[in-house]
Amino acid sequence: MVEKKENVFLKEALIHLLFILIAICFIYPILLLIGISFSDMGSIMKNGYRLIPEKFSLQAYRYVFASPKRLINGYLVTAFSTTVGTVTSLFVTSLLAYALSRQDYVFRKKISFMVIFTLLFNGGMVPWYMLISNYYKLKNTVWVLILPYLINSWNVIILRTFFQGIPKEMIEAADIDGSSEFRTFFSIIVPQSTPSLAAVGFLIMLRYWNDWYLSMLFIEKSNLHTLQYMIYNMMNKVREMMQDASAGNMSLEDMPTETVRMATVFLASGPVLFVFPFFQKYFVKGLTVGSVKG
Amino acid sequence: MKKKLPKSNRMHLKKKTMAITMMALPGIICLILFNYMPMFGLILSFKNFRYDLGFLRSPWCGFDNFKYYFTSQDVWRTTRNTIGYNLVFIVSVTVTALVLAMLLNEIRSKTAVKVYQTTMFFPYYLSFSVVAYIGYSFMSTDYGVLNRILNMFGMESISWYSEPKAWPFILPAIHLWKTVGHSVILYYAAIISIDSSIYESAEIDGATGFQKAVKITLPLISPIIIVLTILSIGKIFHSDFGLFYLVPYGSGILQSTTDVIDTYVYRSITQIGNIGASTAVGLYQSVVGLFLVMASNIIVKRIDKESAIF
Amino acid sequence: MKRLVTALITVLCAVMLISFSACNGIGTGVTQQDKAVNDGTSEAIEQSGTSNPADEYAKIIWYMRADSQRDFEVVMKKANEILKEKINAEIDMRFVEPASYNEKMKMVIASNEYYDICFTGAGYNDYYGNAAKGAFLPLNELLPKYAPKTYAQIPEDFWEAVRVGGNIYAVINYQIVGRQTGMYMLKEYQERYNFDLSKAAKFEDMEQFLKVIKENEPELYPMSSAKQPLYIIDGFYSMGIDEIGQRHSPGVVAVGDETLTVVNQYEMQSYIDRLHTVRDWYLKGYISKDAVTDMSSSAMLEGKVPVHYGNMKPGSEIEVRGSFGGREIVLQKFDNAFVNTSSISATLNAISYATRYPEKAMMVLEMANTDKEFYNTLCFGIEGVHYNKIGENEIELVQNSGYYPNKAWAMGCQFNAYVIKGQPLDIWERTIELNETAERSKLLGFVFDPSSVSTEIAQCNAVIEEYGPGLWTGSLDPDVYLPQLVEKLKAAGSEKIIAEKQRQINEWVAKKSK
Repeated sequence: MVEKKENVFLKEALIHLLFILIAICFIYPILLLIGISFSDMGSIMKNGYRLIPEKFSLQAYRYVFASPKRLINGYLVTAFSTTVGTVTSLFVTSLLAYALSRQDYVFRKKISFMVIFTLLFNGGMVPWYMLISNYYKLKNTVWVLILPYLINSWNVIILRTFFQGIPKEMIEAADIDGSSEFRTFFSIIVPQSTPSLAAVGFLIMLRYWNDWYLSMLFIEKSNLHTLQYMIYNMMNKVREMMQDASAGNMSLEDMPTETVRMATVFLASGPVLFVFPFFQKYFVKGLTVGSVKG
Repeated sequence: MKKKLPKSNRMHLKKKTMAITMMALPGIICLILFNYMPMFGLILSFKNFRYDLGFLRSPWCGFDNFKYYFTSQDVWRTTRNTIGYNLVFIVSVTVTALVLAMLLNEIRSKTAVKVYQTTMFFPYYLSFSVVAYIGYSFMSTDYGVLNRILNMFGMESISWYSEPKAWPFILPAIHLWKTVGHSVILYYAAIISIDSSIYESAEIDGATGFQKAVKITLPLISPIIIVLTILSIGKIFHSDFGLFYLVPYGSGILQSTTDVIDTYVYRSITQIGNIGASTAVGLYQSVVGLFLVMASNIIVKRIDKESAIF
Repeated sequence: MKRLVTALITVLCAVMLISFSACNGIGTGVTQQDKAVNDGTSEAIEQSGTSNPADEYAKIIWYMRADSQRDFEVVMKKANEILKEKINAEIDMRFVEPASYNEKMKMVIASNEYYDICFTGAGYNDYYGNAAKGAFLPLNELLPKYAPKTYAQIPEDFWEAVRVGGNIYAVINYQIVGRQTGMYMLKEYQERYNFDLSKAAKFEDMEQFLKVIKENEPELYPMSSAKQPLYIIDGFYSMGIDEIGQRHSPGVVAVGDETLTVVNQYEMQSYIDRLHTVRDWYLKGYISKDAVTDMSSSAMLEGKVPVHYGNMKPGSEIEVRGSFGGREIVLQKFDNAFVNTSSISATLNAISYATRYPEKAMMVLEMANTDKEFYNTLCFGIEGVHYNKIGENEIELVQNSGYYPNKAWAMGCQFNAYVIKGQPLDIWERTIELNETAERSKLLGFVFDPSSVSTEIAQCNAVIEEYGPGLWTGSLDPDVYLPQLVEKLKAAGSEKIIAEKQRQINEWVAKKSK
């Protein structure tokens, strides 16, 4: 008995060690990034990139915060589009996925094919842009940041697979009890699937948070720009300057340096870190045990 | 509990179908609006697109648009790179994510699990411009971390951005670093949905950790593994543009090992503004992908009918 | 299997059916409707119509490549007040961030989205490509009628540079066109080593300075470089190259060559020599090993790159200071100024082919190019808020004012702009003089139509992207890689491109001499 306990302890310790090493590998590049954002450009030039900044400096952050209003606006817009988008998308996606997971659903095969087809075939950016901009009239509205990404076939298929793992007996039992489909969904399926819903929900949230493409194409009012779009522009200033130089025009502005760019990235990606634990709460084992037996 | 009569059985079926269809409806409408309607754009593959004539009246040009890609010297190279990298990606990410997810499951401390998951996930939400920049901080010839380490061991600096041979290793490593967290989350969610009583009875029978993993966990989460793999196979002719275009910083000489179909199209075709030609290549990629998915699906059906996609 | 195939066919048919019925409205609606308007309008012009559209109010949508500004609304309001009073029009100006401008406009144009005016140019929003594909309105008749002053203030032969298929499709933003290059150096370095800059007359002469700097400060990379370095792009003239069509595409004419023979620049001795010089400098440590990744611009900002080769024009020493982080610089001119087709078409404004108000749009452009009040409001904002006048034509910018797009050269005729404190007072006079005395390319007015060799150009692009950056930054050995580049170009059809260029040039010469 004592041997077994030691074995288990050793095994766990090894696993922990492995994960700590992995964690370091994964985080190191990012810490490097943060370190750069806090340092002074001059010492980078001399000594290369270092983890702990040689000369600590807030100059990058000072530059970024010089126009805080735009940054705050970006946060607000992105927060709205992300929250509303994630909730709605998760709702619509899981409903469709559930419908497709029911073996006894008449249209199951045809609609599944429909969903998968869109994963493979794409009409191209131009018609998509045309429809959204000219026909659905979504330009310059906050909804254009949400609607185009509502359904992602990938997520539908993933959730469908998870839902298929739920024992059919539970659904049949509810059916016999006279429950409507919606009730069954909300009172049985959802509680059973918290891990997968949380996982997919988090991935959806990331998609919304990280997007700059929708802003670039459809938003022309700067107060509706998302955070990531602002960062995209800042990171690309160098290319812009080169373009202007070859047209015979230099800029009188100062270019954002590496440190400034890194500071902006950190400010934009930071919030996701704090939201993740919220999703992790749901990664708990399901309540399958004992619900159907007897 | 009364058993329902045959007549009401049919009505019951109809009611059920209606209800389920209602649930599926919002999703289907979105798909139609945003995915199916734009598909008319595919006809551009066969047209010589003029802006003032638009989609319908621009002249047809048969398969001319396909010439751009298929007669180029780089057809073989880009196809080889695209498929090669994707195969390496699929295998490396699936295997690593599975192993990590299973190991995570073994840890008892919930907080530790949360912390580790968070760290593995960090890179996933960074955009590729940032990743490219991080790459630069490692691979810069004079300032980069990699070369400084090499120098510490007395070895010479390498110009990573001019060394094509290194990139078939660099790119999968970066891709793994960035995306493994995504798969770990999904596999972990699947693993913890497994009824723990199964494990308990296996332990009573004397199964070791390894046996449990191979004989219980893997088979039980195989549906999600298979689905993810088949979907990835469908995309085998596509590539993650950010990874292949931004990370090498456009260093041309690396193209022999980093040029994939999507980057080739962007560089040569998009730059000359021929939308028909880029659509044509996209059509080609999609058609091949469709065949591959159907083929994989048939194979999977033979093994385990329920795991197939459709 | 059979069921799957049937399913597939059903789905495809359904898809096609849905989308074709839907797209009956798409792609035709705007075209037909506006074609009618256009036809009606040109009739109106000929008849000197009953209700003159030029007098009616219109709101003109204008896409401009500029960063969004805090005080955008306020400034546009003021600009529109001026415009309304003078020509009974207003503009709905839309700033699109420069980093995204090309991509965004590609979508707007390809999807037939409605707009009136857009900024364009040889390198922005693909002027030549879009014009050839029918995106823009021909301005031949509108220009003399509704923008006579704009038309007159630019030399006649310059307008040839924006002719595509016989039509003028854009208004030239008149600015510096004479390209001249030279060396910029940080003042403190010139003083530190007592450099006599007049000793340098061409690109290669810079070596003497680079050598001294490197000897004394070995950790520096004294020469600036980039993935597409300016000593290649702006240096074409110094290599005796007069480029044709898309930058870097095979086929150029030697400067001053009366016979206008098209040759492959990658086989020209001057090009090979330049590559060798650059390679030599790379090996000697004058050029950064990371130049090919474009990161060295930040080193320049920090003052760690003392020597820079680039474009020169009156007042450029002030502008270039920005790239050096605001430090003082000195300069030395190298060649004469040179004007060619692409330098003229660098910055333009075009009118959409589908515009509903062609006359009004033209009048707006006339205002932007000739009316000092309107133009300077667009460029600098509101007096007293965003800038202060310190002379009759001179202004001082207010720091962090909330409006400074810094795109005077994109909005109209730059010679009407106020002189900013720090620029020489006679900057515009000197620039005009430079333009007028510059050497003219023998190909001025010739525009290459790439459509018959577009496949070859696309494939050559790929080859150049592969070898170019490495060769241009010296990180690849030209003796090994240049022959590979030339060979691959030939395999991609460079000879065909050169032959086509020659054929079109001969045709153009024949037409001119008639």
